[in-house]
Amino acid sequence: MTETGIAVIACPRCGHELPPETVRPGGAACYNCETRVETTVFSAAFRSHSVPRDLLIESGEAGCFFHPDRIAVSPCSHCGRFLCNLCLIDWSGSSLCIACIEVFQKAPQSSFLSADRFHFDSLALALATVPALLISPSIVSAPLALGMVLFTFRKQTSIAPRYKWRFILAGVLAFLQIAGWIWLLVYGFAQATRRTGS
Amino acid sequence: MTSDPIASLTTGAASPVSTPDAVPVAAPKYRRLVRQWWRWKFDEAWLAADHVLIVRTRFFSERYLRLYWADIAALLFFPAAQNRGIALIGEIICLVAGPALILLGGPAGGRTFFTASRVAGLSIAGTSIVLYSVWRFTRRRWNVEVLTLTGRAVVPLAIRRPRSERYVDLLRQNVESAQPPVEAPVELLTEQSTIQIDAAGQPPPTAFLGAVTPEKRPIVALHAAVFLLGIVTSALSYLTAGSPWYPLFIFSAVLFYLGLPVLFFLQQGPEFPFAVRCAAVLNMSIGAAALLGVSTGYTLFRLAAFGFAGPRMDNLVNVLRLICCLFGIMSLWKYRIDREASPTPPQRTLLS
Repeated sequence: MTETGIAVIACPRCGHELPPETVRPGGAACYNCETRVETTVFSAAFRSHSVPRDLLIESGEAGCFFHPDRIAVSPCSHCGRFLCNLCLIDWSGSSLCIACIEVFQKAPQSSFLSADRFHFDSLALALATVPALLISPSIVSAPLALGMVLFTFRKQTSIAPRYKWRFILAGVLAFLQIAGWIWLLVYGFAQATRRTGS
Repeated sequence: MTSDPIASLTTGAASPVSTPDAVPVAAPKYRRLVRQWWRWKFDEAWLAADHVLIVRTRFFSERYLRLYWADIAALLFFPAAQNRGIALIGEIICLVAGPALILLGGPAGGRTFFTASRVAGLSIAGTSIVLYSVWRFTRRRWNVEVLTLTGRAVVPLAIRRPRSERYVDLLRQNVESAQPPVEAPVELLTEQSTIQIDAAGQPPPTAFLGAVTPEKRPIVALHAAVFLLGIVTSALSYLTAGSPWYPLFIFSAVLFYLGLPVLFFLQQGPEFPFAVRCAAVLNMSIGAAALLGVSTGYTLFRLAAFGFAGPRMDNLVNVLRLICCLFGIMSLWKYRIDREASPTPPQRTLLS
């Protein structure tokens, strides 16, 4: 990568430099691993990222909150701080500063900045199925799975669309296992009582 | 007043903004790039209005990478790795597991044991073939690498090339609609050579002269026909035993065993897939071994005393033939898919 964009495109398989003929229709083979690659290059590859020097502040102009010697070009859409070109982050049409982005990343209700999510539904389903194969561990895992379903059902487990069927299946399986254990215990207790009585 | 937000991120200092009271932008709506119900859990791509979301799932958590259409510098379309080592192991298991169990549980152990071992062998062979086939044929064989100046992500697309190309076109359209066209002409420099890209982001139009198209021969179709005939023969052997339709099995078997040497002479090209060749040769070997076993072993070594010849021998040959023919058909299918990923023969152009 250079100041004016990418100069070399590396092979996605071996990392070796690709021949420029890969941009032709049909692509070309990598010199090293012979993987045939078709490349489409866009104008962003040649975009200049050098910062113009004429953005330094002069008298009577508003300065950046984080860099007081630079001209502010826009306020942050959330906190209102003046931001220069370096600090301003264009996010889906809004201008944000890095401090607000940090806050939004930690906020549970904002999905547009989330960096990761935990799949409570998959974990609940695993708890409801895998220990049940060994039967006896399910006496502990089934209530855990049911509790996880009840407490995390409303949580967003992914920012991409994801159905709730794992939660429902885990809940049903966990409920059935708990019911089975209760029946077994009651039946066993009744049998033991009858034997003792007789 | 000066504060460094990067420093506050690293040192854990309290942010000047306490809690977000309002979300400045709405959560984007995503739609899946690759729509296939049998997806394995690879990295996935979801399309939004202004970016592509790469979702990397590992066990019970997923991490996100957002690549904005306006920032995407290049799309690299390439075939995925073949995983030949794993495939070879799978193929060996498919071929060996069932027959080995059937042979191990020979008639010496008694009729019940023989039946049980045969059922177990068939089950294992069937299961391994099904599992191997599912893995082999639902694995996505084409990838696209999305490249920005600071990040990259590889997205698995589909099994077949045309479908994968449609997904790449969709990505390309989104990027082109978000970016201005390349200012003409731009030189893409490498150490080896230079190429010019015109305003449409494509190289200058190239006229192809005398493109070499591979000669089409019906070898693959003939292999498929013979392997299918082998499966039909195995089925007929069970279905027509002791019935008036038994000559149908004989006719089918004769055609099958006549077809095998024909295949052998047709598949002399070095580019012919080894697995398909193996399937045909194994079928021939089984036929030859069965013939030898019945004609010589039976008379010279009195193998009949151990119950080796007769219906059990037929069943064993049927099972082996069935497995080898299925293996051959699987190999043909794989060959057909792999051929799309292999480099096309060199073409002469006006420029080169």
